[in-house]
Amino acid sequence: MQFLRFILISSILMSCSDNLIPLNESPSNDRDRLELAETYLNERDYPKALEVLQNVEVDSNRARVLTVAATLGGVGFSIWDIILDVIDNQSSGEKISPDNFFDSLSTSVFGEDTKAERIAAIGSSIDLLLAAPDSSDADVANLNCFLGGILGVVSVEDGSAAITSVSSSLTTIQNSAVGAGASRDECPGVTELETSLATLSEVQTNLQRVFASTANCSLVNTDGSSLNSIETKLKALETNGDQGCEAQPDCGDSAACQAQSLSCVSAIVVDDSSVAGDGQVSSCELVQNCLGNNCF
Amino acid sequence: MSAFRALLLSFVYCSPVVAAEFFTSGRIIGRGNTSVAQYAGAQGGRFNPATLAETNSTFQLRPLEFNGIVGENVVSTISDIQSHDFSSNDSNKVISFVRKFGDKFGERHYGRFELIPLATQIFRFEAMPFVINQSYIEINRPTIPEFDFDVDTLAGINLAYGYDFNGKFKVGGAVRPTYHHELEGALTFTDLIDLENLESEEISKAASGFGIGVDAGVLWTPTATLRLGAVVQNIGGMGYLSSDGSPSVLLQSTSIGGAYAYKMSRWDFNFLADVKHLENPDGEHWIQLLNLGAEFGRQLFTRDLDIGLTAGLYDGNTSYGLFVDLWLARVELAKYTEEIGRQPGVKRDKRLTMTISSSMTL
Repeated sequence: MQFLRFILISSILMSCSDNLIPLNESPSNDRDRLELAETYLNERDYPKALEVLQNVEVDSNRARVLTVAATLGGVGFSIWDIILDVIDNQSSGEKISPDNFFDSLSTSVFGEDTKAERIAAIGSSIDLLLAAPDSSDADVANLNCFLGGILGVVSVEDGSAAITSVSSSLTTIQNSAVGAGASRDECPGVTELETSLATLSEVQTNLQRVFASTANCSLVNTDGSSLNSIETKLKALETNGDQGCEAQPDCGDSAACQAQSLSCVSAIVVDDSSVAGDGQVSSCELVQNCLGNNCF
Repeated sequence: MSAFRALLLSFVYCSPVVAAEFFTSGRIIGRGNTSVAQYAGAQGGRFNPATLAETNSTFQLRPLEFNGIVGENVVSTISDIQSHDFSSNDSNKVISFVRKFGDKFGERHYGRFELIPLATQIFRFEAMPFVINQSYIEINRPTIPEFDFDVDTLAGINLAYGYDFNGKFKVGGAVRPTYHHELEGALTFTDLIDLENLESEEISKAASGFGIGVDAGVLWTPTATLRLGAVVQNIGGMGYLSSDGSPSVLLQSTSIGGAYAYKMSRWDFNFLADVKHLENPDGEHWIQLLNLGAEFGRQLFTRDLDIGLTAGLYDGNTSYGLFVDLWLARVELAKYTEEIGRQPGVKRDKRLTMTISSSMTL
């Protein structure tokens, strides 16, 4: 009987084990703040993670990586889910590699309603990582390169759409311009062109992030002979787009191209800072060199 | 599919961490990891060598002792693996299986075993060979996943001796030639998708070395029921006489503690309190250094308690357990929570521990 009582008491005791000390949500040093932030990240409580990370006093790679994790999580962007989705869609027996991964990636990972905020989150994440104290460290550089590749997927698609829109606006201006097309008054449709250029400028900013984040990394590398889909497009963009920007571009006889010679257009398109072969593709270079959709 | 394999392998390929506690046992963990001033028993010498001065036996052989600790997360994952139909090649089933790990972010998969074969005690001298392996793997950050793993193995022999000055004041010392091998690493998601081009050196770092740890302990027993003790483990830190790489130095750990026995007619109550790791190199919260414990049990056929319940405060969390001597072997079970983080509540890992030991005493 005593033994049965012993077993009963021990069973009750063994069934309950819990902590006595509550979580300290306001750590007093960075080490504990980073640890707490990671705990919140694992719990998928991204706002709280960001709140803790904002109090970190000394900048570090780890603080930046955790901030990126919280930023991406805040817009529902999970690389864990993306990787599993990509693997799920691959044919059986196919080895996973960076090329296969990016070839399988589509803009659907950005979602319909969440696309803008996710692009913004990735963009700010890349900026954060580029400015990290030791941005060339493998953990930061590879993450940044990966994010650059993902941003590249959507940016080349958006770039193509933006160029089409700009081309359409230029054609409209060319066909409806009065006089010499020297001023806005003589260029009906210039407002629509400005709107299209604003969109193109956003894409161009993201493309710059893509180039900056994928420079010198193996996951997205445009130097080799065997290129995946995103590497192919980035290489085309770099090769065909980075050709400089002229006041009077020699880009053929299409209406969209001819419109660029109008003063009302060149005033808002042409910039003096674009340099051919500088590894950067400006908005002006996109407009002048990519109208034939040869860049994306 | 190589990513799956890597993922699965990474769960199987477990662990190195320098043990916070060099030796453990289910009974001690159950009572809040209190051991500094514990009553003499087969386990005393390794925790405080001064307790060897209290032994009355001329010879004791412990053929085998096994201490195992397994995290509840490991149990849960094993359950997931067992419930999955691996005979099917349906990729959807494979993916659904891997997706289960999406709920395991931040959970440490921890396991530890301690094997002590042929420990021998002659009068107040004890020679105790040991092999300890402690391993874990955990996944962190679902938005940008990373797998961390750590495997720590220690093997050597603990040579301890206790000396009794006047029946109330005892001292003891131990030397512990130890081989230490550790492997730690991290696998990020970018490594996972570029696995083909990955060198193992890029994701893991191994180091090993041979060193000698030295312990010293004291025990003061002013009355038959009150005991006070102190022990310094790895005095000055256990460095390495020879090494390959840079294995972690086993840091010095100083602990003080007391025990009080309340004896009833048949059953005994033992109350114990320790303050451990006074050096506190990680700057842990004070509550994590405080260990409180109690055990309630009775003697049946040995000089120690042969059956009993344990409870305690360990690492800011409660612990419970039981132990029973089945004559051929002693079995100790406990359930406890380890605080992995530096601060209480940040990262808790619930664990189960079991000790099975046998001994022959003359």
